[in-house]
Amino acid sequence: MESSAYIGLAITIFFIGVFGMLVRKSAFLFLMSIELMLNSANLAWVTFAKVHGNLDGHVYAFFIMALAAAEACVGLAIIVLFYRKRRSVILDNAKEMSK
Amino acid sequence: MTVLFFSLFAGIAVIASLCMLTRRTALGAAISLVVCFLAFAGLYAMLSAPFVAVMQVVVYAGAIMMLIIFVIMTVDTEEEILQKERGTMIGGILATIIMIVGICVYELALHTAYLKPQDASLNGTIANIGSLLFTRHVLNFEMLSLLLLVALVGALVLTKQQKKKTEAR
Repeated sequence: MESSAYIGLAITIFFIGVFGMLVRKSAFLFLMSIELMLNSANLAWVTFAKVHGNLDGHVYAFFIMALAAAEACVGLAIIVLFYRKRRSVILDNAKEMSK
Repeated sequence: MTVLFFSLFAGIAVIASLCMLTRRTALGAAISLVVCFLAFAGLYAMLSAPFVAVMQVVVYAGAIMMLIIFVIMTVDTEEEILQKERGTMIGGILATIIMIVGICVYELALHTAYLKPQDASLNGTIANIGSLLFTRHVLNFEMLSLLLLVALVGALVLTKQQKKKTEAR
């Protein structure tokens, strides 16, 4: 399979993630769209590792996975805090900074 | 054969990620995202990256999504009202399609110099990646462990302080 097909797939998935981040109102969907975008970046890393015959791309894909785990951990903590304060996970309810 | 498997996995990934956007509940979206991640694992296996494929299943589809689903089940009780404004939706869809097509054409049709034929000798086994991880990228690796520790402590502190405050009220 040609590597350009993989890159095209990565671009498509990335922009689906951007679209999800823009139109959905739930904080969980926001977080999951970010995970989707990180995943498409990973696919690009692994594809270019295959193209150049260099394993560094795999190592960086591994780093991005660990980074996504840390990001999900802190993001979910923030969502739990938000829910405790507002009794809601809809991001439109965060219009005022202090309440 | 590879074309067949690529179109299978790519189709599953795109359809599952579109499903994620259209589910009304966060839980349904999370399940669609797990399916999408499993399809990605298949793509990594096709790119001769078995280590990344296994980590995709264990870390992404296993650990991270399990964490997200767990928090959804404790927190989320309301159904999100999907956006009703037609103009915003159509504009967003059009902008997304234009971006996808535009960047695909720009990168893949006009700038093909960096897309050389694939190197068949590459093999991302755990032994090769491990030796690379502990020689050239050892500093990044140690900083990553520090980052994970900070994220752990940060999440703990964030949720704990709030608890004290609500008890005091």
